[in-house]
Formats: sequence, C-alpha cells, structure tokens
Amino acid sequence: MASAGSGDEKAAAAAMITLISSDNEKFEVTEATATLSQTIRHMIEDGCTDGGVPLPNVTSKILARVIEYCKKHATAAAGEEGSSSSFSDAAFLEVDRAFLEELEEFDDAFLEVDRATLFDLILAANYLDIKGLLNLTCQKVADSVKGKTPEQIREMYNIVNDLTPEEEAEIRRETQWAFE
Amino acid sequence: MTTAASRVINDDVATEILLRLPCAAVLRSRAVCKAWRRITTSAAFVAGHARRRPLELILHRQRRHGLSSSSALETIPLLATLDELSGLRLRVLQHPEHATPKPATSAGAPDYSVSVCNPVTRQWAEVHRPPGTWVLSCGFYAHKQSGEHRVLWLSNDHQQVSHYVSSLEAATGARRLGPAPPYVPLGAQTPPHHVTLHGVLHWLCYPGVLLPMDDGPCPEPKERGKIVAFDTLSETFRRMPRPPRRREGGYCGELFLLEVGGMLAVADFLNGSMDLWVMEDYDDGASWRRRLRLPVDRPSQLRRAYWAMGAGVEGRDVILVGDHGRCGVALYDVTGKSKAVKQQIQLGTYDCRDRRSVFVFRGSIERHAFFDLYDSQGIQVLDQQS
Repeated sequence: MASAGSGDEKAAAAAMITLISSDNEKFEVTEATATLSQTIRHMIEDGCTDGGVPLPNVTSKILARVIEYCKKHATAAAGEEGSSSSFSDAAFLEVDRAFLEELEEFDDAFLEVDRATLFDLILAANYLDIKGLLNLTCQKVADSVKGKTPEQIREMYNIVNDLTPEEEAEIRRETQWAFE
Repeated sequence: MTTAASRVINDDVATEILLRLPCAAVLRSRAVCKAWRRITTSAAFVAGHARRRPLELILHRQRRHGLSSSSALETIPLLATLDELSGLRLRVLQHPEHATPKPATSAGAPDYSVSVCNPVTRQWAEVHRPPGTWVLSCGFYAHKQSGEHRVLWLSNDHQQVSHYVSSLEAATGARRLGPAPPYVPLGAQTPPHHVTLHGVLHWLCYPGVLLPMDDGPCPEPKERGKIVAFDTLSETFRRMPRPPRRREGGYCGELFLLEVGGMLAVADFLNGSMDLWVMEDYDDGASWRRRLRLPVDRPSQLRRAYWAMGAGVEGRDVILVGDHGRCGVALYDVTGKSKAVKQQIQLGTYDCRDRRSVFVFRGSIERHAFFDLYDSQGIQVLDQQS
C-alpha cells in the first residue's frame, strides 16, 4: 500500500502550498507539511488550493505555531515510512529511538504556552483536523483537569455552574466514590 | 483571557478534552455544568471513552488465613513503565464480606461462589448459580443479540452433570442446555480459561465431559486434546484442531490459547522459546500456521510461563506472559521490529497462601443495570504503596 503511492508522494513533496491566516499573513509550506491537516488534504485533493488556502478561523500567531508542529511531525512521518521496510535492524532501531525522544522533547516544549494560546491551538487543530496536535493539546488540558474538583475546574476555566443544587446533589450521589 | 476560555470550550472541544480523562474524572466532570453532563452521559461518549481507556492489569489475590479468607483486586496500568511502577499507588479493591468466596463445604466438594465486579464503578455482585452441589463456571461473555452478560456453567443437578446458561440481567435463574456426562472424575477444578472470538468461546483445556456430538463412553481418541468451542448464538459445541505440541529431549511444550491481532492463536513455550501459531482463516477452522518463534528467556523474573494472553495494546500485537510462582509478568511485542520483551512488571512477592488470577481490563463508565438486581454493596477501596 505504501509503496504504490510512493512515487506520487515524492513528486508532491516538492509542491508548495500557501496558507493565509485570518489577518492576511501568507505562509508557504510544503504539501507534506500541509497534508497533516485532513482539512487541507481534502482541499488539495479537490484541487482548490490555487491562489492560497484562506483560513479565516486561524490567526497568524497560531498558524505559525501550527505550521511549526506540522513541519516537525511531517519529517517524523516520512522517517517512519522510510524505515518500515528494513525490519529488525539494530542500527535503525537506535535511530528510531533517538528520533522519537527528540520528537517527545519537541512536543513538551511546544506545549509551554499560556492557557489562551493552548485553547486557540485546540480550536485550530479541531478546525484543520490535525489528529496528533488535537490529541497533544487536549491531553494537556485533560491532565490539568483530572485531579480537580468541579469547583476548581469551574474556577480554572471560568465555567458558569448552571446545574440546580438538586441536580448537582443527584450527580454526586450517583457516583459518590468519584468525589471522595 | 477568562472570556476567551469560556468562549472556546464549545461542545466539540469539551468532548475532545473529556474523552481523554480517566473514568473518575469524567464522573466528577458531570457536576461542572449542564453541557458537560449532557456530553458525558451520551451513549456515543460513553462508548468512545471506553475505547480510549488504557488496558490495565487486574490482579485478583485471595489470601487464606486458616478458615477465613480475604481477597482484593489490584489494578495496574499495563503500559506503565518500570520507572512509573516503582512509585505507583496500586488501587486495591476489597471484596464486601458477603461476596468473599466461600471455603469448601464439609463434604469436600468445591462450592465456590462466582462474583462479578466492575472495578470502575466499584460494584460487586454474587452471581446466581444453577442448582447442584458441584458447580463450575466455564465462561463469561456478552451475548451479542440480547446485550446480556451471560455465564456458561457445568453443574451436577439431580445426579447428572449438565451445561447451564444464566444471564446476569435476567433474574429468572439458570437455563439448562443439556447433559454433559463426565468421562473422567470431575474433582475440584478452577474455572477453565477461555478466549472469546466471533461470538464463540474457545477452551484449550475443557473439563472431561462428553459433548452432544460424542457417541459412546468417552470421546474418540482423535477428538481428545482438541480445542472446545461454544457458539454463544446457536448454543452448540464443537471441537477444533489445535497446533502440534513441541517435544524436545523428553520435554513437552506448554500451550496457551490467546487472541492475537483478531485471530485465534496458540503459544507453545519450551526451553526458553515461544512458538506462536495463528489460525488465519477462522471459517476454515483448521489452518494453523506457525507465525514466529521468539526467545522468552530474557526476563530475569520469568523462568517459565504459567499463563499467556493476547493484549491488543495500541494496535500492536502484544502477548502478556505470566509466571505464577514468581509473580512476574512480561509483555512481548510479537509484531514490532524488535520482537522482544517490551516491559516487565513485578506483581509483588510470592506467598504460597495466595491464590492469584490475572485479568486484562479496559475501564468504562457505563453503568451495568444488573448490579442493581443483586444485593450489591460498594466495595471498600484501600490504597496501597506498591
């Protein structure tokens, strides 16, 4: 399956796509980078990327970060495809591990952003349908939520409690152990 | 920033975040606001959340102190690294007193009760058994057509051994399938291990009873040693061939039935190596192929395998192998490039008074209504440093 499309992929790697942010900044990226976004991949398949891809929901500040993520992970995906044919080779395993560690470090550093930026990144990942980025950013928020009480979560994310006291008491009673 | 945060947590984003929370945190999140409660109580969310749960290892440990006994379930995240494990607080779930397995009766016949437990919701119930003084649970499965959770039993009702099926959801009691006369004495037995695939239960070792297709006082010689299969839809039995057992220098391989990559598989352990056989075409029912042989002597804690199971971890084929005496568990990657030990877990120290069972488990926040049918009390939860 992978080998059948490899010729096309090589040709596509050279092709460039222009992404246009909501504040009209233009970003030139390779097709390999852009197609980490399923949304853009479909646009390319439909042949509607001439003259650039306008992304009215993404600011230049966020788009720059998203592209940074995609560039790094596009190389990772290419590396993985290249090595899958040469199995059980110790040297390859060593390279893989070093690369995976590097990627993990990159992801950790990438998440060092304020809460507003993190939510903007989630929205962008959701809109552009970039699975890896959505998982990374949502997991970060989930990790910050998981040990908290409902009160703490509401305070952290400024959520208004619209449950009636009776409803809230019932929810707590249903699974009391989860609140202990 | 505060307005930005509340603006961006729309339902899509909230769903993506809530799907990644552990079970208890999801249940707590229902008390945050109406939108979160609506999202996390939808059937699609509950199913999607369960699919994302990491696999956990459940260790059921029953300790006997003279006549009294106590037992506990411990859960261990299957993919925790050894470093993570050393500082991990195991969750220990204690049986309620009423559900502790009863000791053997004075007549010497085994009379173990069967309990069903949801470690997530901490519900525990003792399953209604069929009539009889000798009762053995052979399999536990979800019946696809009715959605019921069912148990297949062997029981010696009125001087005859029979198969029974009972449903946890129906309080009507067990339904008798038909006679299953023993051809060897059925003494004290632990429930046989089964693998469920395509709605069929499979056993490598089944108690020595005659199945409906057997003619005569015992099964034909060529039928012995075969895999016994029970179709949960048609409620019929059949036997299937198994791969040949390895023999080297007077020793025989130890066989374990498992599921690997959606296929029925048999692992054959002998002299520090494992052969893995898979049945590639299930409908054909006879096409065993040896897929690989890999060394298993590397884990220092694992001298020989006592049990093995397929554990579909992150879409890769991984086999979990356990050593009863030394309480070591190892995960073998059987598809990756290295085909080697991925991870070892030490399940505590060996104690000859312990009886241990190990299960692989994936959490779900689904509420099983059948627990309400039984006199199920919450189980006590203790924290214990590993």
